[in-house]
Amino acid sequence: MLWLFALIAGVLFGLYYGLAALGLNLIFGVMRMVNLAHGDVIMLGGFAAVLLFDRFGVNPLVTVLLVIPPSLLVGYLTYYLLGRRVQRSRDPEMMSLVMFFGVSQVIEAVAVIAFGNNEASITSAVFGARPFSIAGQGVPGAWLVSAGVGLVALLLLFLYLYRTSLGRATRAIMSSPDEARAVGVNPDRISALTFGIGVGLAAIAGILSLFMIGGTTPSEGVDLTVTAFAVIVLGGLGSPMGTFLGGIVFGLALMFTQTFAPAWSGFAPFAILLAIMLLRPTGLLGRTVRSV
Amino acid sequence: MPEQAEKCLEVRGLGAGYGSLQVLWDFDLEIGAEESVVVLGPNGAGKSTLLKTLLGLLPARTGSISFFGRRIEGLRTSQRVRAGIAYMSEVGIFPELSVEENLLMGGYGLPRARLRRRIDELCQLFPEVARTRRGPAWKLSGGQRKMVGVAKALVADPRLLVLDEPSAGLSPVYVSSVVEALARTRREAGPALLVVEQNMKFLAVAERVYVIEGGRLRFQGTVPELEADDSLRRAYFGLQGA
Repeated sequence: MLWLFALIAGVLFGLYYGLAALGLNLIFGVMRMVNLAHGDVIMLGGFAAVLLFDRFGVNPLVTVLLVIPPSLLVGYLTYYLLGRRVQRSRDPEMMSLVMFFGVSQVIEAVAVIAFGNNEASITSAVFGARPFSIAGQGVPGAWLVSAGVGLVALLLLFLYLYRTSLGRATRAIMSSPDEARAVGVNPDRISALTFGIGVGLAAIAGILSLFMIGGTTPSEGVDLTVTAFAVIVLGGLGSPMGTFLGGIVFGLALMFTQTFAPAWSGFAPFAILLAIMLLRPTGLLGRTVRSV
Repeated sequence: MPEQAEKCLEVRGLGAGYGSLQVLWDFDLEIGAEESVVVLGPNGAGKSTLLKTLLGLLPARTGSISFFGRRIEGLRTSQRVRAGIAYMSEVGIFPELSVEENLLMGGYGLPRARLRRRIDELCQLFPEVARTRRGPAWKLSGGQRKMVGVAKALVADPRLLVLDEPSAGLSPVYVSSVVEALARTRREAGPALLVVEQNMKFLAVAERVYVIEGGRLRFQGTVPELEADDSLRRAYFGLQGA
């Protein structure tokens, strides 16, 4: 029944990858900016959890709640300090690559100074040492808790996007920025809020990454950004629901190859990405990134 | 427009453009409080630039814009919308949202109860919109999109409705439907109307006409006055076979 384990693990990891990528896609969808520092924010979320756990014994689930307000604030201010300037440049996408590559390097360098180069982690036993049984398969409790937190975060985000006026305005800007301005939406306000939410989701994913991928180091930001970018391209640029689906596909591909052909596990998810790009260039749920 | 009538919109010496390209030059325009005006012009004449500048989507380089006597050229788009200007672009809708969500966005910032009441009223005015209300907007036909776009623009109960080429991409049958819908809107909803178009059918809803060419005002007057101008008649009506 290895396939059943791969299936369950794939869905659990898919929820994590979907969450890890969603902030990147929201920021791209609303602002057409590629936040290359996204993976570094995930990394910082992991270090925040380790720090609070080691120094004060704070449970990582509590840290999930604690990181939300500062993340929103940092993201909000980052938009007004950097994002707005990038957005008003002639080529926001290219400028964002340059600007956030620089931000990524700065974050990584500061993280090395602050935390050193060694891997930091929290024991999975914090969520119980014994595995849980799902359909007869033993699944680590930490995976279940992490996937559960990811699922709740995703559900709350979708409630925000699809059931609130601000969320609808966010999707309206993703659909057509000029049209949104023409009905009275203030794009700066929505962009700043979205940047805050994107940073918050990344920080939460960083805490969960301690249990899903085993720890964090200052240099892992680039890898995390690449993975998150693969997930959003897979699901469709600018499509939040596509990112969720892209995460599940990515997680399943990773877990099935890790289970049946471990040597191919770094290759298969990206091969699927290339195949989907060839067959459906807009991604699984993407129609067009912009309508105008 | 009669001299004493209340002015909804008064534009004087408006200039606008993109980067080093000046598109609109010294443009004047007036619309009365309950008037319907059509701006005609060929492709690239500066019609969309004019509307984007009126809405604040593009900054005015020169001139002034007054809306019911209040200078608005320095206001943000959201402030102009709150003042009572509604705009329908050529696209007209948010394709990734549902029809219902498009209508809700048309009244962005309005209290929820008032918004729902207004949408119900508009669905009675536009049965085509009521029929598609629960579906996704990207599935709509070109004509249905325009209807939803007009209804969306009317949700906030604007004092001026501005439409950018509502005939774009439509078959002649649908163009007639949109003209009829606008006439109905004028009769029942009543905002002042500014339409930029190339299609002569929209003169059916015009009380006055402006012609823009090369970013400059070429003509202003009534429809009979336009028809009496030989060169304009040939340029516009001639091509339409009218």
